[in-house]
Amino acid sequence: MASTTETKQKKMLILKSADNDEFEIEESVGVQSETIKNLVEDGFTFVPLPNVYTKALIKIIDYLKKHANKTDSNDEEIKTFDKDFVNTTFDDLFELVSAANYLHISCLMNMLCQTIADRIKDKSPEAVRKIFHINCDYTPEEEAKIRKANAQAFEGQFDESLD
Amino acid sequence: MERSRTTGRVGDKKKAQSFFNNLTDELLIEIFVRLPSSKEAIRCKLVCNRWFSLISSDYFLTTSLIHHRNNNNKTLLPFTFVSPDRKYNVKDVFEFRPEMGLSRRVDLGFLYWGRPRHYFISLTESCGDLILCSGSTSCIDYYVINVLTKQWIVLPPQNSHFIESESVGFLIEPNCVDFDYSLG
Repeated sequence: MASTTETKQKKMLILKSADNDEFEIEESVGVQSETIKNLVEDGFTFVPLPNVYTKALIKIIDYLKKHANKTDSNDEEIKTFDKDFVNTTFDDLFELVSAANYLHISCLMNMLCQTIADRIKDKSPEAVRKIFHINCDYTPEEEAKIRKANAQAFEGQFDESLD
Repeated sequence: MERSRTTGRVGDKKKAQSFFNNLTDELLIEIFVRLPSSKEAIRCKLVCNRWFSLISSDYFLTTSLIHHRNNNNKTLLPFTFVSPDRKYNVKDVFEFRPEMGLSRRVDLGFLYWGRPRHYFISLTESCGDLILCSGSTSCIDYYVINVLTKQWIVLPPQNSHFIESESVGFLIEPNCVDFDYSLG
């Protein structure tokens, strides 16, 4: 009896990814996302997410589930989870940060942006370009001018690795 | 918990590149403000023109200021200085205390001592108890002033090639105040 009441009380949501996979999650887990929360408040239980692909959505649902069960005792466990969560490639981080931004999950956004900043902070501009898939649009003269004007910032050795 | 149903997948390769286009200016700035200091941000200016203008923008300076202020209590000061308009005469600088709202006008007449008669000093930026002012004669001088102690310093002259189209502001480093010549 008790267990039926419990299942009845748990409101569920269906999230649909950009590649048309559907995921059922508890409402209490989903509403950590402001975007989902607003839709739930408007009475929606089916949430299409045209900007979030399955791969990122699976990871984000994992994150939301973990953080929905935050208590005083599992602080360390969540820290370890977060550390593993961001231990991935830049391409994955960019996909996740775009998704987190679209879903308005501020703690996740903060963590992902901080991770990206920490990982590019010692890199050379050339390495950063490759990581972000950016083509340099400066002429050599313009580049020299910027280096000269900000000489201090370009002193020393930089990390050329792309991970 | 999840039930998964696949009904036609979008090509994985095709979508891979699209995430970089999804990194909006706003998102990039969220990343830039989390760099540990202005030095790293300046270095990112060399990546491309778009990044240069983002990092030179007022929006970046303001966001960066708010971010570092919120994340580091050491720079959280009970007051800041506001002027009704940027590029306003420093005589119209007001002291702002969050708990009191806009309060008294601050007299910065001491800055004009010994200056030529038409010397005009304008407020460029404020941060906590520090303000950044510029005074112009034949070239532009920049001053950083602590309005509480009335101490002030003149910043070294800048590279004259850039003087026509510059924007300046404060960037906050975790434990010290760093001045950034943002050239745009």
